[in-house]
Amino acid sequence: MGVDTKTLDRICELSRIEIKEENKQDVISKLDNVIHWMDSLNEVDTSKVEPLVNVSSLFGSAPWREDKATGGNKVEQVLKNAPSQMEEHFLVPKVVE
Amino acid sequence: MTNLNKLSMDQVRNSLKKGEFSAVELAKSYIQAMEKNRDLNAFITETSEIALKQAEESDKRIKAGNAGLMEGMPIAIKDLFCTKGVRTTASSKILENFIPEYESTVTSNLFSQGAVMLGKVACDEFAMGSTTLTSFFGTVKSPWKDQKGEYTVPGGSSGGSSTAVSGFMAIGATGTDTGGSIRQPASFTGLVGAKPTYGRCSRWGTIAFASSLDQAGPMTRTVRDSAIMLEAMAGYDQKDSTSANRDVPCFENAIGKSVKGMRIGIPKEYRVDGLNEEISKEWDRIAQILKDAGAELVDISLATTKYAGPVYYIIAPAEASANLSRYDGVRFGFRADGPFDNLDDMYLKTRSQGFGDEVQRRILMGTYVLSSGFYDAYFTKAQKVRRLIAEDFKQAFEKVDAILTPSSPSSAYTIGKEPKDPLEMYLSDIFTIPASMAGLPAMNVPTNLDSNGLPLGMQLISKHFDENTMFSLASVIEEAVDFQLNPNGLKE
Repeated sequence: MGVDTKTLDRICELSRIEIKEENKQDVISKLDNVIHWMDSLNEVDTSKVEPLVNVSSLFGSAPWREDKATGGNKVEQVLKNAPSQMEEHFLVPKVVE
Repeated sequence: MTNLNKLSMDQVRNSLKKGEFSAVELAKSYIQAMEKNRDLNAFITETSEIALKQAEESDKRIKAGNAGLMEGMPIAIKDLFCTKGVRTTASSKILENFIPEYESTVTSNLFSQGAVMLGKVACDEFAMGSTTLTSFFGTVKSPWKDQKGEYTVPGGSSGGSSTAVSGFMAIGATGTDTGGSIRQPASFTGLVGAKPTYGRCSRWGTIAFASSLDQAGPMTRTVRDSAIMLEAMAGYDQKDSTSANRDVPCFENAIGKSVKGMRIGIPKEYRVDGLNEEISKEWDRIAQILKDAGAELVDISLATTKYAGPVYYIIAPAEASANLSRYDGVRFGFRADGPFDNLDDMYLKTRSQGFGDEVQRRILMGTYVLSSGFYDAYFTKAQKVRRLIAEDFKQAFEKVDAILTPSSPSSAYTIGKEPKDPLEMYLSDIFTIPASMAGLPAMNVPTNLDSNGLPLGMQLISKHFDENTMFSLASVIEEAVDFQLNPNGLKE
């Protein structure tokens, strides 16, 4: 499988990343190289293999903990790094017409 | 440079206890070295005031007989660990002015054991890279120059850490390792770099790259220092659901232990076509050292080794594309200048201007392998092969106690002569990635200089939670090779 302009546009949209028109071919050829490399996995028979989803399962399991609230009411700290804020809210461009 | 900076952690520990010098004097000596070598660009943020204050507190605790494991040790912190009140950038424009309101568990553990923070050091942007050339804050130079007198790269992603420690600007540094980001820079700069078992060190407060792989570890000048520092960093943390609820042993006890009778696996698949002859010979030499120390060498096969690279470059970018979706210019970090057509336009401009090329490429790769139509063919397939890689190791560890391989297929690149094609660069991680896929502990031990005068290192891999075996073997190698850390690119 390979990447064409249409696929690139689609993943750019999903990623919210904009690639300038003049750079697209370069990005495509670099991605294509890597994806071609990934395709070598097709040589491996995995028909009877379960995906490894949780690495901790290789040596036991991840420990459980009680589900309890441990903090909160930190409005000032939460807003401190916000690029734009007002009256305890994050400010963003208008989203409702 | 004063001699204080040449001391190892155990030497410092003894001297501080005896009152031969104070923690403040030591901190000042390191601050001086850090300021003198600013041209190497290891530090993004220097925190000399904090260091001196922490050192004063250390002196008080030493006097009171309450010294911690890392008491008075001036260290550098990779700029991926959140430090409360101290700018934390991940070497990215998108976090250029981010000041965390909380402390990562690893740094918190280190400080509660008395460590002194000299500053925050650069890495590849979001820890994605093998050279530290992708840092938004400029090129970091290794203190090692090649034979023509040109600076080399310090490896990556923990390249600020490796420069700071090999350049005697810090006694140790934290690193993080996703596919080799501790071991490869340690190998490039002549350091000991240990990645413990996945889950040993909490990931809480460490800026996430690929959560199923990211693991913190120490970068130091000696094996014993590595053991001391790892013990301080490690430990169960409820705040990280993948943190292992296991006791942390005294890793230092493993140093100097006999390795007689240990079985060392030599995987044939690592002897790749075209493997650099010098590295191949060095591998044989170090294996012989272990044999001379009474270990038994066992030829093993890790048949899936060649697939570890493609698996990694599916899984890590996939996880990264999800982890990095939080950088949207709303809650923290950089926001592009408006006006914006709408909210989406703000996301788009912020992320396109805030992330560098390599990070954008990884996000795109990750999005591709996770997108509908490709998810099973790439992501699920990679997870399946990942299990096969882990099973290969499991079978090997039924026959051996540890595995010995080179850490990197080459020594450090001269700056400007590194591979330019991403795929070629990715291939430089092939020796470190497999252990990461299986969550195994692995470390680099510096062993020699190559014909270009640059450090070479070997990798030891041991069983899950059996870091002590790799530390014992590493200390045997260290003693036999007597590697001299004497980089030629430092200002006197």
